[in-house]
Amino acid sequence: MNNSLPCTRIRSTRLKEEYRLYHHPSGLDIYVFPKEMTNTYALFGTKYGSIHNTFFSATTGEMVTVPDGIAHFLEHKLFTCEDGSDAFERFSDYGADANAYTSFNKTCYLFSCTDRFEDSLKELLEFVTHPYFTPESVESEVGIISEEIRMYDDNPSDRCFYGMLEAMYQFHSIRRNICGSVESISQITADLLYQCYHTFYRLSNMALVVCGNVSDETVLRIADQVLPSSHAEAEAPIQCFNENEQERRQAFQPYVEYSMQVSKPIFNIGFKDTEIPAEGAQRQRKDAAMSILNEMLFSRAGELYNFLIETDLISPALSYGYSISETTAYNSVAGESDDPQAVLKEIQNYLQKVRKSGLSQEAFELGKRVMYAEFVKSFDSTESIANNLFAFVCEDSELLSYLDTLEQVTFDEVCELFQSAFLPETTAMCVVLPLENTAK
Amino acid sequence: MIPKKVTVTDGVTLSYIRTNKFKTGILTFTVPFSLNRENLVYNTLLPGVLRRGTRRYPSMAALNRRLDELYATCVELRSQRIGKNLTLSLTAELLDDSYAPPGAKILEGVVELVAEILLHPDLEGGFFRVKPLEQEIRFAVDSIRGEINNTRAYAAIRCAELMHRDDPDYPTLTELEAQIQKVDAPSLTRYYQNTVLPSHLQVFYVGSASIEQVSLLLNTYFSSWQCKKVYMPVLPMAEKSTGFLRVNEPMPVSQGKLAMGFRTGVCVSPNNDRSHVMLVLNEIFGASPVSKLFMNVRERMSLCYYCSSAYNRYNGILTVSCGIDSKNEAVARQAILDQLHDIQKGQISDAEFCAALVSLENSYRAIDDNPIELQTFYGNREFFGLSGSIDECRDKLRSVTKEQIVSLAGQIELDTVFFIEGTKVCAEQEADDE
Repeated sequence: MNNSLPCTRIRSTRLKEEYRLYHHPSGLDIYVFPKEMTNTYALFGTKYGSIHNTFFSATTGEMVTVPDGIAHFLEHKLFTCEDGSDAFERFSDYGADANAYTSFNKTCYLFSCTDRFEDSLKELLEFVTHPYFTPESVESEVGIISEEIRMYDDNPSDRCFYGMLEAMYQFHSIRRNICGSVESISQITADLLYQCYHTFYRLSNMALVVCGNVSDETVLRIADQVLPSSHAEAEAPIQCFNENEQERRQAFQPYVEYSMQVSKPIFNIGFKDTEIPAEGAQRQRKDAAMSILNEMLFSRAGELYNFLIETDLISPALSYGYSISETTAYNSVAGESDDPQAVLKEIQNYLQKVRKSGLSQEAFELGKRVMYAEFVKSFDSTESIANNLFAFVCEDSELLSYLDTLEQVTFDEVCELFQSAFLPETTAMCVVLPLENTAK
Repeated sequence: MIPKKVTVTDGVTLSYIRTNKFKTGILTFTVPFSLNRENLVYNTLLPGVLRRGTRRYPSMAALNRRLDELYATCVELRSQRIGKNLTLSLTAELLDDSYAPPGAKILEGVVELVAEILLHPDLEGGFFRVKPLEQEIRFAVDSIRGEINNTRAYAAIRCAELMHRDDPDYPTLTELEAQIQKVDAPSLTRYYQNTVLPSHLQVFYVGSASIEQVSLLLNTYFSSWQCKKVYMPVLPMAEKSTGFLRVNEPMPVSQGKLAMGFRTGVCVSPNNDRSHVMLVLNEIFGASPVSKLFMNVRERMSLCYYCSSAYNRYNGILTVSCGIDSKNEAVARQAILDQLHDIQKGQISDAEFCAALVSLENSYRAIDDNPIELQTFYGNREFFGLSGSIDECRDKLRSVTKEQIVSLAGQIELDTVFFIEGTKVCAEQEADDE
């Protein structure tokens, strides 16, 4: 057992939470977040998602571009083991609930359990670090993923969201579906999967997060059993093409539309933001300030939302928020309306009015309070803690300090941010219309 | 964690689980009454209308603002069908007072606000206001029509409708839409005053406050809640089949959606309960990633991305949901039936059986970690007067044998097949055709 591993404690007295970080000799960062829950949740993730499509390959040493959807395909195939078994079966034997997901910038393998944690953790570390791809197994997965792609193709909300990204971004890979297309996944081979795996699944690019009623010693002992006891000192850094540098400040297209099986039009409005701080802590700060600003502008308690409802312009469900990562950032507002263009016009009028009259200090305090409460509430679930912690790790920032960051955001800072946010030239809208509207 | 129950007033009872485990507290208010078509129509509209304003917070903006002030308390009102019963419920999810500055009094604020919503809606001339009601009717109609946006959920709804084709208390979406549009302010107000208000109010609390504190708050703000008639819930009963039905609905989507409805004849019951056997059967059949449906229809045959089953213990219906290429419908349907036949023939491996048991054990134990799930588990049991803790339910699961499963599987009958036939031609299919 690795008793001598240095440990960094990260603590929040206000949240009454603490977790520990260990740099394992294998190169893997291990986070243990103790929580008095029946359920323990473990997540083994890599900072590799669907947008990492052009990179210096660790196997060839050359810049390569791989087919869209390959990170997601790899996630599916990793569960198949060399002996022909499926990792899911072993998790089931242990009573664990296992799963995996791929997002734009990360891939996560996870399980939750209330018993036999050690067996499940061992399995998680084993199967993710032992890839086995063959042409036959790749071929057999194409049918399953093709149906997954068709399922998302039929989902109007999904189509509308991607439509907004396609309208905002001209080049960035974020405009392409995480799963790829039926055509792009047909180009995936076992060799390409290995190339991506060896580039992005090195342990120094990954993290293990465990949250629940479990001791650090147990986690470290199992990591010692499964993972290598050392890693190459001089690993070449992972180099991906930074697609934000290609993007203009303006939205690529102001408007796109699709026609699908929907009962009334749905819309996604995006406000592109290319001013992305290089440092993780600064991105966290911008995220906190922008999230408060979103609450001030679009909250259900606010003037705009209630005007849109009163005038019958929208259905009650209106979602909004800010998203920021290393190479993309945008605000978005999504909902349902018989007249999405009128909604956009009213939003723009409102933003213009507030720019003149100024933001309200009272709304700022309320927005901050809402963000504070939502964040604190997220610490009731081992699943959300582990996933949020890893999301912060991927962004090179720290989870518990987000509360202090929220606290430190000032009204003046938000007002200043507002001046350069939600500008008309950065705006892109996607509308999904009912099929009969198109026929007309 | 097992709830305790106290009577607060003649019309209000409180079940509570006191725990410091969570940063979020849960307060659920449930009003039960009988399920019939008329009640269902009114009850569909009432949640939205009650959320539009109260005497003290006379607009939706004012109500929402108060919720934000109460540290982003989330209030959800809904109409729910539980077997042959109907409930109006309000669930408030609130930040524990220990995470707010001293004096914030979130719990008290929330009880006061909920009392406003349930007891003092914003009336005009003694009736619900016309304009918000008209809007809520439009929203409800939009919501019903919008079910088609999610084809997987829509297929399940249509399958359930068809299985209840002879049930007068089960209107179709189309019938519900037509009836909702006939509701006016006087009739909805009468329903609220004559059916909801005189009913018994069941409150469930999970959080750190003492029972004395919660009781006192309920006493203070709900003293005017007067129960005039105690509703005795209709116990779950397995509905009978009226013959096999198959319906195909073409739709311009790229993926076909298959929904199959089976009758098991087994419901949760205070006597001779076999629903735990059915739970294990369902787990083996299609509820887990190592179930027969997942391992065969998805993994071995590569027919779909998802193929799973679900069991409703309040009406005894087992459903299967699967997304497929439309041309594979017959193959997928047969493959699904084959998996059930295997269970009926006793072809259940030890690995499948053990995996189902440990998976269910895991799910039951995990209930303790979620205040909403705790409330749902114990709230529903209380509703039907069923005894038994989570541990006792786990004991029952452990006692299930393969023989019991095979015996029960033999009585499962396919009742309805509903299929959304995708008629949209995909780009790759066009290329293939060329």
